[in-house]
Amino acid sequence: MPQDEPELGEPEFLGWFLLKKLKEQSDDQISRSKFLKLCCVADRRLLDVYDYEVGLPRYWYMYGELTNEHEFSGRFYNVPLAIGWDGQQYLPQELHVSAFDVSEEGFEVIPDAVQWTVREFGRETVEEIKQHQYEEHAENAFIRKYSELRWLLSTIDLGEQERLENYGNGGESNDEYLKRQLDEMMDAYPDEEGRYGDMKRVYLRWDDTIRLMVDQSVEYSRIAEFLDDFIEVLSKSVLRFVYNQHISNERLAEWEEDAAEEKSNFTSHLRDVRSELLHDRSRTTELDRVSDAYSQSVEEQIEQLLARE
Amino acid sequence: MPDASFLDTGVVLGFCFRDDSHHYRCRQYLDEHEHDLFVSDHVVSEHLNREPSLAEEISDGIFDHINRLRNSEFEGQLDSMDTSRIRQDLIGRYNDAGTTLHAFYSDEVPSFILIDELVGRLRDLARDIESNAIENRKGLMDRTEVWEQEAEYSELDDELSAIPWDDRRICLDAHDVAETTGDMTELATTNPTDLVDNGYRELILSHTSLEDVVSLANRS
Repeated sequence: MPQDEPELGEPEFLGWFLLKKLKEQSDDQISRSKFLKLCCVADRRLLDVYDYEVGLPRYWYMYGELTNEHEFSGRFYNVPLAIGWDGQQYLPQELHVSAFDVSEEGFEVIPDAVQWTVREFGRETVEEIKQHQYEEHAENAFIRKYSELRWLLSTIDLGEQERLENYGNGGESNDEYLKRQLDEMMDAYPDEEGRYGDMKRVYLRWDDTIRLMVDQSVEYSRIAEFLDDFIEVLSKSVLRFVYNQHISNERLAEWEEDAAEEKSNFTSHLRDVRSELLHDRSRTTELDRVSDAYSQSVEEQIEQLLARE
Repeated sequence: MPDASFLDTGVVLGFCFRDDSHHYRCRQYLDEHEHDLFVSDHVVSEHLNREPSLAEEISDGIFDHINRLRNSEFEGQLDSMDTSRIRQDLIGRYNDAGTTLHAFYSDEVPSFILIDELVGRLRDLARDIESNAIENRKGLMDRTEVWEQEAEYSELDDELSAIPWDDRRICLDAHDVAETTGDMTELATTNPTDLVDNGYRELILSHTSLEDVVSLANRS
């Protein structure tokens, strides 16, 4: 490659300009999560308002959208350790715009979109940016529903188990309200083959397990954690494959390897959590009533299993 | 009187996954004897630690049915016509819980029931199935030693070649327990066809160090 040909392109220019404008707006430290999310917000602004595509590599992960920084073609930022919290802060490198290979139109619209992003979201927290992302850009109702539930769980006083802020009408209890949210999530689960279909068995098992937690008055903080656990494995097995753009085949192959392991680990974790909850639960008489039929089913399964040997 | 008993795959799976009243002979056998109990390591790794377990496969079938029910047009109070249609239309053809669900609807659901109550009872059924399996498994594993065969018995393997491999492997494992521990050991099976009947018991006893082969099968 000739010396004077810039290795940095339009996605990098968007990221660099965003960091510069954020630092101009405030001297606050910029976290990785905030930077990677705001790149996505600016990119969506470019597409929606200017119909301009820079090719930013981004994907849906848990409660919002992230830029895949590993796909940037070169470094345009420094990441010293943050002060006051674990992690790194993102700072723009001292570069001239000529370091970036950007079209004439790009030099006009990218700064506009970035400035809008900084004005609208520069002072927002990561949680607030996530909320904007799932409210405005969630790809389906299921993502919106689980994100709303997570938001709700994060707004209550976990120590006090206080009544949920926006609990339903008619004297609905917290538990009833939570179960209604879980019902709505289930109604919204995409009825699709492929990755969503492959994950459905785990989802339905997780759903019943979190209902067991509600029944047994498990702390809301643990319920929120268990929701996070599931959404993380859903993200790694489904969401980031189904909802992404400009992710390289190499990266997708790495994700694929990761997905199988994550799903297996989560299945074991789910089994442990569920066993513990079932241990603390009193048996009902439902199985006793259909004992003959159940035992016949098991007998058939055992026969099939042994016949496969 | 034997000192030890080696449990074959059918005894282990039946004890862990069948409902109490249906593994009566296995439970009676384990309750009435103070034997040291042994199970093969491959039975544990291939069958008891498999994912999903047999009980989970059936409860997953119930969760699938609940999901279909929630996505259907049925709501509020259901009558017997509704539950009959639910039974007909919303139990998937390949549902592992099919037999259990049909029995549930035909015998246990009243003429009128609220859909929320129905779903609650279905959840209880799924949870009971898993609880039963967890308790039975724990009860069994607390009493048994998982045995890993180390010695080779190629000559014995040839002598028992008339027995299918998976049953023969259990015989070799049980023989290894008898040889290694010096205990009088018997083999307990739910598969008399391949291990007891038609001279198999005599064949096994004449070539191995086992004291007996006992059938715990429920014969009709």
